[in-house]
Amino acid sequence: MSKSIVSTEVAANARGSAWWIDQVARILVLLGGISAIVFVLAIFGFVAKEGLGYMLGDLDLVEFFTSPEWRPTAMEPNHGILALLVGTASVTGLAMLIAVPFSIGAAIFIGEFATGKTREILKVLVELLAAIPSVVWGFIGLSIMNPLIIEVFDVPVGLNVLNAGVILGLMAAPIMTTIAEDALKAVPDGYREAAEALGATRWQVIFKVVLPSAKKGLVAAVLLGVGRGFGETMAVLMATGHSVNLPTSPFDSVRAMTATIAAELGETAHGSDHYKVLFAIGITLFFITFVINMAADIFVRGGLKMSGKNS
Amino acid sequence: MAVETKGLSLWYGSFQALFDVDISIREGKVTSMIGPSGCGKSTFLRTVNRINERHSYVRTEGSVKVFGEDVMAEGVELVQVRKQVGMVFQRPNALPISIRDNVLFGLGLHSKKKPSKSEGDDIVEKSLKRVLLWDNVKDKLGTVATSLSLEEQQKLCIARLLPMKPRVLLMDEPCSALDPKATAAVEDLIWELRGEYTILIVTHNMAQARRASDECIFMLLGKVIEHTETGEMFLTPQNQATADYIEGRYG
Repeated sequence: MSKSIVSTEVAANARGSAWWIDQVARILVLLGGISAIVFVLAIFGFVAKEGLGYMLGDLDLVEFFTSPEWRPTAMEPNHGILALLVGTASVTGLAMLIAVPFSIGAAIFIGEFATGKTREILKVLVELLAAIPSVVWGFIGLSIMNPLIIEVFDVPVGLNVLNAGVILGLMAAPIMTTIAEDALKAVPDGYREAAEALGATRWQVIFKVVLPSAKKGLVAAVLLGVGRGFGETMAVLMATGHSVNLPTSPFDSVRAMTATIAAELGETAHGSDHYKVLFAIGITLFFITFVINMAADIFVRGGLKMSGKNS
Repeated sequence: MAVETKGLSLWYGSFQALFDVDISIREGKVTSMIGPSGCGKSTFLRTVNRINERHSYVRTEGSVKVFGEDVMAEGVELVQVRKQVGMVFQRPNALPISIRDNVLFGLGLHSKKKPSKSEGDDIVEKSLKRVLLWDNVKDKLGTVATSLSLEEQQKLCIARLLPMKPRVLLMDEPCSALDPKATAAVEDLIWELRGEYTILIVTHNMAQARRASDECIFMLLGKVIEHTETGEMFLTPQNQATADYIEGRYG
């Protein structure tokens, strides 16, 4: 009899404060977990509400994608974003040309060669580099790169594809380095040991074993850089020259899609065509990033066969 | 002698792992090395092909001769050493490339010109047949090697050494990640390769040493305690420490 009393007491205790803390913690963590989904859907909903109807209805999509004329405030407005698309793509392309070799090289050095203190210091510095605000990079583009390019290449304007490409490349490199280094670190050491025991030199180990095994992560690093390039606004706004133009050389000024939105949205009347077309640009950007991510995902799945089951 | 060391001492940083080790391994035999964890048997093995030098804090003294040539001497190319002395590791470490590419990996590193398709096929078939793996994998040579079972992977790890025509095979607890059936299969294979190759195998498993070796070396705390014919060691150990270890009183 007394035994059963004890056990009910225990059962009652089980719903004490510890149980409630558990429940609250569980709900908080759940909210945290789904918040990402909620925010993405909310942002997409907002952007779609402001621009999608207009994009599919009144907007002349052929003109939107194929005309290089961007004159949203003219009497006879033109809403062509070809120049902006090309501007963003050319800056990002040049940035990747600079950032990919730099970041992969840095990752190989940090991951495979540097040891002890050197390695730790390098990692901290790379992360510090990633933390520099983009407006500071834009500042560098404006006040250092601009006169430098004018002087070195003897061109009239230093705010151009080259300037923004270099700045964006330097901006993207640190985060790409970090991701790429993580990918190299994830390659099991047994693979390196196996190759070395078969007589591979250090470089053979890197080129024939480590880089192929880390391919997935390296592609992810590059795509992250590309995403960063498409999305970067402030530094690009400051360094490209911000003039609507189809570039024919790296010394031409361009304008990026993001920079256009940032510079113009504040001055448009809410609900006007100009306002809506800027949202249409946002949707286009959204779509491009989505496609890049999808491509990455498909590639990663395709490359999955290459990674070991027991890695 | 296939492998001969004189006064071999080794330090990991300030910790001395080998003390003045003199070992002679006879050609064409299977020699097993036994002893409790940390006795230096793996360290010894990893010194013969100098894979220990991957860690920069290793320091070695003394000489290691493989077929009369000092592998520690200045000017010796590591690549040559590792072609002659193949190694199999504790965990099967097949590379995440196709089965075929695994077998040809070593050759690809060393030869200037690539073997032709038919030469390559020939080498792959011979090597895989030698390790009794051909029948299992001949229809899927293009699949990634890490999808094989552990036993098959370990056999593949042995097979990929063969195209380089090594003379010594070092095996560092090659069966410790395998189940009993796979262990028996790999042991059979080791016995099968005996004669053509000099095999040095580190094992925790005394029954394995007894079954699958001609000679046996017992090490303790970085020193060689006893080195005799295997049957003799297990029947009439000369040293009290050996006897105690074999009978399972420690280790």
